[in-house]
Amino acid sequence: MTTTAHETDSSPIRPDPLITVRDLRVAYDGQDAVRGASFAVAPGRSLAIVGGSGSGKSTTVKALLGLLPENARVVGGEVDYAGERLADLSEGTLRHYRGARIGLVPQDPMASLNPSMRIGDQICDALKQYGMRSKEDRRRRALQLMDDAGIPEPARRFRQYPHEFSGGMRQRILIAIALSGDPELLIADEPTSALDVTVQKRILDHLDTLAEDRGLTRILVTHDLGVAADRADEVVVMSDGEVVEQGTPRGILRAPSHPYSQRLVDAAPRLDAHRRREEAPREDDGGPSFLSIRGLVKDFKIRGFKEPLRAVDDVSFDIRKGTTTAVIGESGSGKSTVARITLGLEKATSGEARVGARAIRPESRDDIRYLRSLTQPVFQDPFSSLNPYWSVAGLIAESLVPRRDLGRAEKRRRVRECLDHVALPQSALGKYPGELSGGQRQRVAIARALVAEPELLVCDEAVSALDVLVQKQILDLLRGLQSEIGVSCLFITHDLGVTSEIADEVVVLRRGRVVEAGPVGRSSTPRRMSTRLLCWRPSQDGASEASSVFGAGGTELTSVTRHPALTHNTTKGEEWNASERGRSPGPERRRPSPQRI
Amino acid sequence: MTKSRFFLTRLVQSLITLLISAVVIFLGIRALPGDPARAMAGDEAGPAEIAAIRADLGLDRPLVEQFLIFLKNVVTLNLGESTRTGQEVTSMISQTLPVTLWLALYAVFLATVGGIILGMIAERHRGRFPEFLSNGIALLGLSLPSFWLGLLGIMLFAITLGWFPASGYVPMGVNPLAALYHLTMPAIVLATALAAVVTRQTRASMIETMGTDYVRFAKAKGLSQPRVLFKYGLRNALIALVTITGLQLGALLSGAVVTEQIFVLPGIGSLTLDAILARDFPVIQAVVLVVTVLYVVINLLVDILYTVINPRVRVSA
Amino acid sequence: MYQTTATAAAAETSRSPFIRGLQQLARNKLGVIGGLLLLLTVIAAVGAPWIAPHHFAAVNFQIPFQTPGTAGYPLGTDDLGRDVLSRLLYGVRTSLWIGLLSVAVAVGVGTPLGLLAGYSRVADAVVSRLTDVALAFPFLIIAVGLAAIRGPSLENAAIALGIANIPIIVRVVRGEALRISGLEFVQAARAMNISQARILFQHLLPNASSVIIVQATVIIPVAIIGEAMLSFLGLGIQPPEPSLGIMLADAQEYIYRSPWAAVWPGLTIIVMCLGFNMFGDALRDALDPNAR
Repeated sequence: MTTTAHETDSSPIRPDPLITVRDLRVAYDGQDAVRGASFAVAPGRSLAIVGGSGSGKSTTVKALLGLLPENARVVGGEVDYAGERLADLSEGTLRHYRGARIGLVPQDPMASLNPSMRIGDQICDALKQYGMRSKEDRRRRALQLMDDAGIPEPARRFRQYPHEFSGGMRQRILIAIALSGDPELLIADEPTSALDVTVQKRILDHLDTLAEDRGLTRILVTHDLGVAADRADEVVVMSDGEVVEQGTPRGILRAPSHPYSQRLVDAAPRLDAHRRREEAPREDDGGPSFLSIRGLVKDFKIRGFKEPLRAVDDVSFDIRKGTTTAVIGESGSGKSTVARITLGLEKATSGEARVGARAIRPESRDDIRYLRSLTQPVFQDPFSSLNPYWSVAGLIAESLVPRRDLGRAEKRRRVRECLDHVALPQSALGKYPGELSGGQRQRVAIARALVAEPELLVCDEAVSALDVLVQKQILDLLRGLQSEIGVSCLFITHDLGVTSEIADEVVVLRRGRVVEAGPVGRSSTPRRMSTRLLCWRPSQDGASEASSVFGAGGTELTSVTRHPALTHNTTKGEEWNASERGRSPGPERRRPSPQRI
Repeated sequence: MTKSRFFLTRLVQSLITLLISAVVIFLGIRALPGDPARAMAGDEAGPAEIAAIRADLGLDRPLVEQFLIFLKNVVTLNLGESTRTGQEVTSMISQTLPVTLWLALYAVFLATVGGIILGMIAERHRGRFPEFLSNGIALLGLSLPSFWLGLLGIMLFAITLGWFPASGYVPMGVNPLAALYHLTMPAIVLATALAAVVTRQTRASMIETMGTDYVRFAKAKGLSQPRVLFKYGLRNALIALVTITGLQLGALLSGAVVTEQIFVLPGIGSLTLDAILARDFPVIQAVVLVVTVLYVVINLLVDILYTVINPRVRVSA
Repeated sequence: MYQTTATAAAAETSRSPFIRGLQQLARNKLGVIGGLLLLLTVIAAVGAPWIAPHHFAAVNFQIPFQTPGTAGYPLGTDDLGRDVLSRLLYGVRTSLWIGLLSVAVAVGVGTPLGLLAGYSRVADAVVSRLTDVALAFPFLIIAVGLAAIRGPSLENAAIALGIANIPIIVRVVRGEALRISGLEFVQAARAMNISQARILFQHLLPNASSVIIVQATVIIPVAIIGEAMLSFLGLGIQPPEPSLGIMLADAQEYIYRSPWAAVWPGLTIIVMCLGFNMFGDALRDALDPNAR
């Protein structure tokens, strides 16, 4: 174990810590997940535990709350809380601490509220547990808590069910519940990673204010060093179940001593990445346009609403040969719909698309087939983008199925060649997706796209589901491939940092409309945005497409009429699209109806 | 889509199901071997007589018209007379239906209560003996023919021990306690298969819900264990359970026939069997109609119940 | 990071998810026991003509109601002096045949309907109504109808049981088709200009197959019990064809005199069905992507 302590620049007189954790060890099914974690937090101060997925950071706090899953056991270590040694970390022992003394703000607001219980009841039953007898008192207190947490019209919303709230609002409810027992310690476990960035920031700020007003001690668990540095007095970096570094945020950011922290600091996408890139592919504005899209409009009919939803509204952009155009925007901005139309998966309502000199008419099957023959997709989720029953060889060869002109041997040769391109060993050919890591799967997906020798790669959030470190490898790979074979690329992302790493041109979408567009590093746009975002780096794990690059009120917007389907749930416009997460208005899939399950 | 609209959609769907079912039954009867007119007229009848009966029965009209007449008769509950007893079919049904309904209701009650308890025990004691036992009982319940259990039950509890009557029925209106007493063993027999399904479903749903984030968060609030278990766990596990139970009702009605046969209960099942053996087609037709309507109505009710316990009506039907 | 995982993955031999599922199955105790019971069932069913000491219908009025353990009649005889063991073996043969036949009907009709419903909105509405109608007729009613139209027989019982189980297959396959066609690899295939038919057969069907197989192991015991029930009521297989249900119906008549006669067929049914159910559970754990 290599724990490096930085000089602390906090006040010399340190009060007794509220919570001290010594050599905590947790095992899952006999496999060590946390291997001796030690840290302490003084009253009123805040600690951030930072680490990637599988680092043991979440397991650590779950153990502190006695909420480990059934196959996990605390196998060693001791915890002192408020001067007392905790007998053990069992669910029963800690029940008296949970809620009343230690509040938790959990990770996923969409999944952490009981779907069949009214919001008010969920706040009140916690209050009842803490000994508030009178029903009227509980109601009054709950309304107060909701109001404190920034939920408008608490009296009305009190009687609503979770599904009637947006993601940000649900997170606020969770905060209200976490504070309801007047705890001394607040543990926030990746509290906002499932939310859009604009919402994230506002909620974390609000949480900080509330906690500071109440003088709470805080433990913040995050994968994002930037967030940690921003909001904690002290940072603990965990990797592979061990605390590898501990110190002040500034110290770690400036001079990370452990290799893992170094990599964390390095790998985070940088907003100024385009400046570090060795040479821009082209300097002038010339270069022929491979694909040009003008006035693209896409309407979706929504059941129960007369008016269609306009997901894409008058979008125009160009992709020049051998360059990358990034379309960025938050969830619900229409960026994925643009990708699907470009792939020929969705029919545009109106607008004009040209490949070279040929116009693509949405209603012409031949045109769509032609478009599909030139484009290849790389999707977001490396776990569902490959058929689990096929070997890697079969997966890659699938793109060559429509190529009747190629012989078997030739197809096999191309598959092998492509494997080299994406830096996978030839031995991978016989593997099945279940045997590959997320990054390897994404390489296979890229190989599958490249083998058909497309003119245009459409990457729909292609790196969003990957770990920071893997993300960097895949981005490097894509950039390398582009300079090698000159393929054009349409890159859909919510992440400004990623955009900066890969794109030549940027189109910024908001609510289906282009708000800004231009080359990266030339126009003032990215710089203007980046000022807001330098201290706020977008997140990169599991959060899928829920992030944004826009500061609220930071960008001036033309007024956009919003569709009632998206707004009927929310009172304020702020988090209007968060409730639509995971089913962006575009590819609406039918799901089995309840009575048929 | 609002709830009322959801109900309306379900209602229309149910009516369509009923209409198609009526067509199936109507065609099924036409497909029966033998000419009913010839059968009614007897062996010595001439072609003229047969034609007269044919006209009398409306069999000489176009098929669509015949179907409309059939539909009209069904709606007005004009189901004809039994060829075996000469009784009005409607009154035969109204006499036997309550027996079957009480039996089924009792069985559903036993199966859901027993199954939920067994399923929850299994979830609470994962990896330990109670779960093993609960799983074993459920597997056995799925694997044994209920009527065989009935035979063994009569041998053991009625003949050897004398705890329950081997047969007989007391109407619920006459003496509810005696009625329940007489129905207990049949209901247990009928309930086994459903109880097994409910046990397995409860266990699976409970394992799923107890692992959700909202249950973990409920614990993080410091709520007491029973409250977490019932308000957060079971309540949500029930949502999946309701649909599964609804789908099992067809099998339950089939089981009721054989259960009534073993325990000599004067229900729809016995009526059906007697009718089949006597080739009493008006009664068979009526029974099939009643069962179909019952099934569709019950499933409609299940859907309504579903929306009650699940505030989040997923409306994409 | 990537390098290390790559070499680690290369060290193992590659196996398709299907093979891996089967290997997992072999490690499941319940599944192995179920598999052994199934093997026993199959041996009894296939080997009945050779194993059975007597013909299933050979009557011997000299020795009715022999108790189990009688020389030459290990499980005793029935009211007509027929050998119970021989009748059981042939009964297993009938049961298994019915089970397989009805699964063939259910899967053969249900799979294409389910795929269709999962793939096209219009077909979905039609198929949904049809399955609703099929569900509204309990299998006994279907069997009765078929028996009335075509006369009671083994085939009719199997068809009735098969029809009654079609909705289950349709629902399961439809759900799988919906789930899979929403996955990104199907989207990718569409974007690659892969034909609909190829997507259906190369992507949807293999991925749905494990769920279909699991469901089949659930339907077989249901069909076996259903056949016993039909034959018990006199609506299924007709004597002198051997059937466990008929044996139980006979036994009911002389249950006071010879309770054993009711015990053996019941136990045989339980052993068969337990075999399928245990094996099916293990199979589900090993193959069903939703259960994992």
